[in-house]
Amino acid sequence: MTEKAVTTKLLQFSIGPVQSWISQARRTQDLWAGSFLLSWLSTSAMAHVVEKGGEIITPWYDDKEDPFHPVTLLTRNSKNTHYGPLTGRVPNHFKAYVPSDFDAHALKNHVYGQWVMLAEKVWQYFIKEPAKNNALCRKIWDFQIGPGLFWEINWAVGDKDDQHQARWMDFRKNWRDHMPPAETELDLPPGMRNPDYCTMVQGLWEISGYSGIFRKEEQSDFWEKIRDHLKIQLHGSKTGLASIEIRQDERLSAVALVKRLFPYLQAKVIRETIGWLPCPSFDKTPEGNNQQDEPWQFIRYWPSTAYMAASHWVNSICHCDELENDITAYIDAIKVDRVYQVAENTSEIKICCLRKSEKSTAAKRFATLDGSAFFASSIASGAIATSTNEKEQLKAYANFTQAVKQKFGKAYAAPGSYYAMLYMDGDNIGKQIRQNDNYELNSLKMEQEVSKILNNFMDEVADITDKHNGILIYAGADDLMALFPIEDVLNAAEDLRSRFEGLGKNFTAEKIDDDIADIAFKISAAVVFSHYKNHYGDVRKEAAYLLEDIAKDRNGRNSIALSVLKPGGRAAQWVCYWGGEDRPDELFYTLVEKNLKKPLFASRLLYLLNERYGDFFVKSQDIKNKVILELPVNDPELLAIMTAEFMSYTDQDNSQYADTSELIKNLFHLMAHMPAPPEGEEEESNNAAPSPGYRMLDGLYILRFLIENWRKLPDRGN
Amino acid sequence: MSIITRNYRFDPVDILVFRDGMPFNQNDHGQVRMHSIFPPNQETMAGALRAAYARNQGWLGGNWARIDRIKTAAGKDKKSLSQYLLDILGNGQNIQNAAITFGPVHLMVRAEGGWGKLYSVPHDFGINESKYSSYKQGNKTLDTITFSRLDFDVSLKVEFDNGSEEQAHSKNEVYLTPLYNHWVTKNTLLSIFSGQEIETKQIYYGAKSEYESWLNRQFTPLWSEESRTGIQRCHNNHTAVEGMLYQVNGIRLENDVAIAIDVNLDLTKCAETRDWEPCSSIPLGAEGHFATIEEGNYEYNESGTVVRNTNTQYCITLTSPAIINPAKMKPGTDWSDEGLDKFKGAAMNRSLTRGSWSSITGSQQNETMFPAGATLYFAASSNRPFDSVKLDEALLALGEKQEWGYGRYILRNL
Repeated sequence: MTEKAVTTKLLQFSIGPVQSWISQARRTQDLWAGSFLLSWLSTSAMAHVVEKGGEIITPWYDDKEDPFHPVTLLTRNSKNTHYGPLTGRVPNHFKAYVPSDFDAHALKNHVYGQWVMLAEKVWQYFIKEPAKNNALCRKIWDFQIGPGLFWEINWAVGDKDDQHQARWMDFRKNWRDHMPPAETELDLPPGMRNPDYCTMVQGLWEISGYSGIFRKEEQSDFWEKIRDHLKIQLHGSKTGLASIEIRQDERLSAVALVKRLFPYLQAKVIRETIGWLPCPSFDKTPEGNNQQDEPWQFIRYWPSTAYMAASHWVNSICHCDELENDITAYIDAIKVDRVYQVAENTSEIKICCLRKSEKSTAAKRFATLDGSAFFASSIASGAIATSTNEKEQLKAYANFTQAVKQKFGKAYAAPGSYYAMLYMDGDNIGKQIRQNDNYELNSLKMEQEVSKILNNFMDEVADITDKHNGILIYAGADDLMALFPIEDVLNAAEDLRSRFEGLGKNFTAEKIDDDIADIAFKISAAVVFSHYKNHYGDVRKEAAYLLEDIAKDRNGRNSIALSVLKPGGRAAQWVCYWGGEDRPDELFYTLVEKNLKKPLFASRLLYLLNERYGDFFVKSQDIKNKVILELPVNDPELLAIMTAEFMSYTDQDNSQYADTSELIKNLFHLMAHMPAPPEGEEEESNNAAPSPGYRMLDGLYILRFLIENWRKLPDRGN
Repeated sequence: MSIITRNYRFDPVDILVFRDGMPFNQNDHGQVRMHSIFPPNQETMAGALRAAYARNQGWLGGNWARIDRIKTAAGKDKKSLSQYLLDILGNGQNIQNAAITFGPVHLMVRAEGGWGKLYSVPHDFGINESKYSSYKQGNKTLDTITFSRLDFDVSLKVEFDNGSEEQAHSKNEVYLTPLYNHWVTKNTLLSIFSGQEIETKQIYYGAKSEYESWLNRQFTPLWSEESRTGIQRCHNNHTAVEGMLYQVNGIRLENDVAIAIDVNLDLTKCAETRDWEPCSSIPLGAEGHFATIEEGNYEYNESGTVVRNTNTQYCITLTSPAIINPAKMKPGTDWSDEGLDKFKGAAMNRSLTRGSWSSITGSQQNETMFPAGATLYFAASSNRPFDSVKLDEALLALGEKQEWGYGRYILRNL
């Protein structure tokens, strides 16, 4: 902190919406773009503050030479190689010292200005030409992009020594006054009905201005023109191409179009508008396509959920030389539309296991197929080609999967249909700071020190995610979201947790500030195993529910919660304390791998165990009588009975008793509910309620689910 | 008094589904799910009751402005049914001049033999944050709660983006958590205002998830969410096929819980005498699930004396959602056109955006409104006592679409 800061005021800033904006996504790219844009707007706000003589307090930056410093990032120099972070890592809120004459209203206008500037680029490049005969379209566009409608920007400026400064934004949230003007204020031309609503961002009109009920033809015509224009802009021709950027059934608002289409802007436009070229490792020149008048390769296409679900299956096939001819025959037979080939071949392969191995040409072609080409149901619905006979494609698929089956066995004939979303968030970091005795005196300093520590974590998240075949969507402050194959997600979560917990130890050793030396860096996680066809909004909502409600509130934090989200809804849910001896990755993955070597867990057996013995693991829900039943995790009698039942079912002899007994002990841990120990604060009354009791037996169902959908070959590493 | 007020209670026979106005498409995986909002929009309940009234008069569906059939029962009626319905119930969305207008939609619970209305817990009251947090983690019970008022004064000396140097805030380092989306009876509401200790079972909640019902385990449930799968049969083979399934998350009310709406009948606009009663059951909400209708007792809600002297502050708390021009929500704005004074600020949760169908434009239109429970602060500029009759919350109203029951409020001194 500088001397200058002593005489200045304190600014607190936040921009939203966060959760709903990120959740409003229909594709992986939308999910990434939502968090990236939010992070970018926050960065822009910080740069403006610095430009006007302010100094950022949190998040913490070394100085202006820090590659992540907003001013460094947003230096719009003439270099074509001005690279910056690929994923959003700047939180949506910050604190800064500002001069006493700082104009916070101008800051708000600056952020809106940045947003309008980016939107205008999208309009100019992709919408203006096809919408030239539709005056209402531009009217709706301006209304939706303009200030006040979408972004909720809050700030507070005051005396930095104010005793309530740590709660200014909490107080501000007591009055939620963001009320976007209704689009019905727009004067529609005579005879026009209200347009349909956007299929991505809730509550906004789609920009054609037509109602699908009364003006279906005009509406379809408008969107067809947009799609054709995009094909010409991005692929040079509109003939024989499917539309991948805006699908056939999508009708989008201006806000959604900016989110969807800005990654397709030319690299030089991205650099000029955003301020940097998003790049996975921006300290060195990336390989591949560096054409400044082409869309920027690293943000243009992201792996679909189908591709993520199939990744280990694809990897196994790519590494099998004996299947090379079958791969070639399959690719030739299905005749994937050229646009899909263009899309995947010009993009960076983002999943580690598929990227780093040496592969034959056929394997490379296979690995860059659209994710839909790996699933019969998607092929049958015509998802990968507009002009090919789906029956022939399905026949080719059947022949190909038959060859795969002969090579790897029945379980590997087709890919699994599930991927995993990982969502993690630090536990009570802010609360621990607030509870410190010196908080009132030293709050800003303490927050800054913690931010400094968290930056270390953020520096490593991308690499850890990549190592486990994941795609990082965002990582900012102490939370992150990433997508993984189901075979890797639990290992990745454990790796990230252990790194996060290590932060505290490293920090204590460095002795940066005694006030926060006792802060425990704990983190909770949610893992949603989702069907690839589920809507991202639902998956994100499930992840938030698991993390905030189940892992944190209900299980007492420092916990990991898992659920299986089938197309019909949640099929299983499980949570456990994460600080004990049991590690969920070891519990589940070890059992799955045992089963791969020798099938042990038939569905019927797991269901039987659940049904017959499950009630032993249920805590009482009798709150009135405050009854708690002890869990029988160490009960030798129950262990013996279940072991005998298991051995009888699987035809094992007595010599295998010891091994089976160990196995059953592992199952106990999946069946029992392990809440986090209560926080060490004093009880205000002796009427403590029993810990929440509810059936946590879904652990066995999740085990069965993993066994059924596991496609990583036992002898195959990454 | 030319206006009489009634209260009608809807008792559903199955789950209820009230669409949120979001796009729905059975053939799109992202849009096959309907989540019901609850409580429903004012227009939804008012519309159901209008239909129930009209059915009892012989209306068989369709646009009643175009019915030319003459009702001749008992030889009394000289007017056409169409004109009758237009006079009494209005035309489509235009009910301003109709004899029947509507008051707020209320959740109701049966206790001690009678039905009582529920009110949203005011957003300017909160409970001890650390105590609630500990309860949330299952470590403690929460048998009783004492609500404290969020202070609203100029002591912060902070400039906020909404132009106010004042925000509702907690003092004395006891941070307060407002209980949004919880309800209480009138007596409990008065206990909250007077700072009395309240048993948690006197606070009601609605659960949309298993977690929410656990979180509110010591409160009293009003409803739970129930998930169902709907099937539209394929026209070709009459079986269920992909793309023709959908999922509904509906609302199942607990026993002794109902939803009700107040009705104001202006006798001066209702010259001819008819038995203006609704039919006994009516489809309510999406999917046509039925609810029975019963007339309840109308409660007169006098809030007591509210002082309005120069330099005093007072507040209002919404008892139904309000549609207010956002421009009026700037601190310092004069609200004398609403019979109030200078607006100072508010304590409120996020605004609600509700989808509805406009019979005027023939298309969907969304409306944004402030939620019930929101509290708005005012500074009196002169000594003008409030009309004591107007302290009836059925008559106190502000903002747009008051005839549909929006914008009802109660007055309180700070």
